Amino acid sequence: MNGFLPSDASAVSATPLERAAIDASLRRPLLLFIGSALVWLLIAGLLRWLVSIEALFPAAFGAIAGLSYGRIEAASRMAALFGWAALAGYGVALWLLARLGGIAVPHWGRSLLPAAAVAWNAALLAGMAGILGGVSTGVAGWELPFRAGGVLVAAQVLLALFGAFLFVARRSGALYVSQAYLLAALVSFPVICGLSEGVLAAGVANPGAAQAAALAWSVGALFGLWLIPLGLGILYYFLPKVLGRPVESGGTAWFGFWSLMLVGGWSGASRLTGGTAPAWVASAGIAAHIALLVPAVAVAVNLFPLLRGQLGSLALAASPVLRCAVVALTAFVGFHVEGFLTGFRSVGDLVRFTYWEEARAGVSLDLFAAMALFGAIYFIAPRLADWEWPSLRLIRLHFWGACLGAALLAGALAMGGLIEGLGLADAQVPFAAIISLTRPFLWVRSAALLIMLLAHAAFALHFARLLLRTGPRRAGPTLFAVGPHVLTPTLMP
Amino acid sequence: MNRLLLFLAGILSLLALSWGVLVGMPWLQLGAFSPTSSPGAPEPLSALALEGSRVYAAENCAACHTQQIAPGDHAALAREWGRRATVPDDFRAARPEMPGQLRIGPDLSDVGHRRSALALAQWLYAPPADSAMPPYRFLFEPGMPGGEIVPTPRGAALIAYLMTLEQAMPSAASASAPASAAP
Repeated sequence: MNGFLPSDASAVSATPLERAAIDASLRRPLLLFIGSALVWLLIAGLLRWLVSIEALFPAAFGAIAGLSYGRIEAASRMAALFGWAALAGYGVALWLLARLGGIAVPHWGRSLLPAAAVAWNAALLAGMAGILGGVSTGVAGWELPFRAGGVLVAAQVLLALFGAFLFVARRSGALYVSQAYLLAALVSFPVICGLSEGVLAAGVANPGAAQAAALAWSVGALFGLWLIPLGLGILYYFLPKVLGRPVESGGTAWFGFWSLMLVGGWSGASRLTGGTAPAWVASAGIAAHIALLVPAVAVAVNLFPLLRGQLGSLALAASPVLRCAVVALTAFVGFHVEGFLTGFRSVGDLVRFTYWEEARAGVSLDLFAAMALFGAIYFIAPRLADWEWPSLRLIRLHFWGACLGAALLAGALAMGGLIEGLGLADAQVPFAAIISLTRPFLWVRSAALLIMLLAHAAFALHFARLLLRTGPRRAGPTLFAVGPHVLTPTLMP
Repeated sequence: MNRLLLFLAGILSLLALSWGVLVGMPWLQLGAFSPTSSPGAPEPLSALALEGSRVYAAENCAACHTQQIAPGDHAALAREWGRRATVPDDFRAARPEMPGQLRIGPDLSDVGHRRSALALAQWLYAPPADSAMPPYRFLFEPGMPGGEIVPTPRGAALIAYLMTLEQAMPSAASASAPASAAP
């Protein structure tokens, strides 16, 4: 693909003044997207922690309908996916598309984007109130009541069109792989959500087992064609940029992109293994799960070599952006290897219906997508706010808390899931004994979620301080190892 | 602009391909069955049970309970969670289908057969101490004299729905069901 460049096009074509103009044009809308995303991150974290408490003490909130286990479990998922990940994803993706295209957002865009953000937040709030109030579709991943889901789809269409506008109006004719990933995520999101809402609406009138195939597809596609391209678009931009190195191969990057687009929509069908859908559907999903290793390898062989000789370097030690990106990249490869292994029926059957499923979702959301988004926000927010992060201590607290909490969570749930799977497969083990065996891991889950919640609260507080411009004005970015020797040109704004 | 259209066409074509094959084809394959094709297949839900399925959805019961037993899941059968593997016709009445993804509680495929309505009410009101299930007191009228357990309309509807979950369709019929070809 001609025109492939490893990093920020605007670094080549736009002057610092032009870059400042782009940032200024996006300041209010994107700070609204990112700021509200952080509020949802805290709501999701609090709800997830309450779920974990209720799993340990089932009678804790028994008399309060709005805090029943099922309702807050569904609400926490919606807040994490459609609140935190979606809104932060839009904030980051639109900034990257504007910077890569080298264009400032026109005035109509500066009104349209906040309107979309407000509509999104209002619909999600109404949907969450519906779930907590006892109105839900009951379908995992799509619990928002229909009308709230419909407003979100309308906003998604609007934002996808705006993303396409940023692409069409770009100053450079080149097409960057990060642009492709981000545009694919923006376009796929409303299609997947719209189809799922349609299937749910049709399913109410037309019951039957075929719904399972539709909803399994939509959950798989949501991750494979929205969340993963979003994260990879971020990684393909920031890793080469911060390290100041080109990726290994443009051809491999495009191969990875199109192979993900080819198989990313198929993997959800593996959830139907042993279910009521025709056998070939589940088999296709399993094959896709295994085939997903191909784009994962393409990404790994392209991006990991950038870190060659850097693991002990000052750049990696100093930059929160880089640290977050490396964690996200490692998680990306890790969960594709996991998907490959559990694609084999003997392994997959062992962990089906267990906490392993939650561990997998945690790795993809908390360690891959969230860390990629955190890294991007560490880079973008100071440019939007025209103020550097005020506290190195809060960056450190957030990074280590988010990483360790998510790793602890995934590890505990994976171990608990494995033990649960072994117990479920053995009819001699009473079900109550299986529940009892998993309790220690649920304690660890609760502790991990609390660590993550505190870390995310530190991040949100830090973001608020950034907006309020507290602390001294800094000449350069806030880095882990502060000193003139680490302020290389690539780390400078 | 042309480049964008080509790019979008590629993305949307691949998306449509996966949806068409994984969703459209099973829909055609399974949707063609008559609701009365198999003896013992679930009847359409009564109004009360239908309301109960909405309560089941709203309380997100599927977060902890599956309604699917895979062929070869002998442990589930030995625990008497069901009498046979689940088949597509079991979901004839489901609006929407809520097969569940986690087993923090037992599978409910045949709960209407193995539990009475009274037992279900007692379980929802005060689950046993060794269960991970929270009590759903808000589905019952508060402060009844003599500690009597009286479900609210929502609670009664949920119990009515749970009682419809039974594998009345015999194994022979399930074996002959055309698309039961579970892996």
